[in-house]
Amino acid sequence: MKSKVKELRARHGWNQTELAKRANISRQTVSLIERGEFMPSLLIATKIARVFETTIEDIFQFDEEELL
Amino acid sequence: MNKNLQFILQMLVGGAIGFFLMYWMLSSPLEGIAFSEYSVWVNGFLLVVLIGLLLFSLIRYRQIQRLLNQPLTGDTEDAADHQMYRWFSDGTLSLNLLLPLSLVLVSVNLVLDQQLSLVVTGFIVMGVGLIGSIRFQTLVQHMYPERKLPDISETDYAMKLLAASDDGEKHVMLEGLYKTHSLVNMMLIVGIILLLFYSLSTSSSQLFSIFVITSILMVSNAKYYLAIRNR
Repeated sequence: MKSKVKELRARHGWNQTELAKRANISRQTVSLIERGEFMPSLLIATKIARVFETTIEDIFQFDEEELL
Repeated sequence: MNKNLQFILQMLVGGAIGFFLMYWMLSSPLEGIAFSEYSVWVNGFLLVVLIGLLLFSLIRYRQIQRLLNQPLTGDTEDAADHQMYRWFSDGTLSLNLLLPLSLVLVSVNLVLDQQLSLVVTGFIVMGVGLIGSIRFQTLVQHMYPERKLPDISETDYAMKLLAASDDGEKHVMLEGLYKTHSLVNMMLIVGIILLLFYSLSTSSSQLFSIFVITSILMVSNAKYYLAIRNR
């Protein structure tokens, strides 16, 4: 899974703590997602997408093999 | 190296060590470890470790407090949060180790030496460790003031703290707990085997300890597998 969280966060000029506060999740979770060590639940993905005012699909993309 | 080959090699080396250890123990019976001869060293070692752990947790507590009072922004704030989390884990680990080690100190002195001062010291360290644990849990509220974390005085604090953790934090805890569960299972089995060897090679029966460890193994495994089976 590829995620655009880091890229979007940089575009908004936020650090991980700021994004975590806005999405009401922990900074540790933001860090894990950015490092690709944790696939977020639907709830967390929705919270992040809402903060960036975009869709989940726009932020998190799967390789074709992962969806088979 | 191929993983299967590595596994077979580890099995062979483990088997060989086990065979020679068993052969050596059964061919040259020991007299058992005379703990009373070493009690001064054991007490000294335990006291040094206990004081070291207390000081270490105190240092970590102060470091977190100092970091909390610094106005940080940007990547420095993220790095500070990461560092605080590590220090918090260090401090909590030190305090968690205090309880079993101070229990050993109390046990050694109740069973062998009858040194009341060290028994009292053991209980004092236990109390200080408990107070330290409460202080550390209170510190979490200051580390994450924006989060709705339970108060330490609330009933079912541990369960409420788990419920307040998000999925990422639970993922990290799950990984740690699963590894711990597997490690504890393996280490208790090794412990039973060691006690068996000790009983066989000395005149000191360790059957009671073997029964206790076996009961712990059975209860912990039953608890785990019933928890996942009934979901």
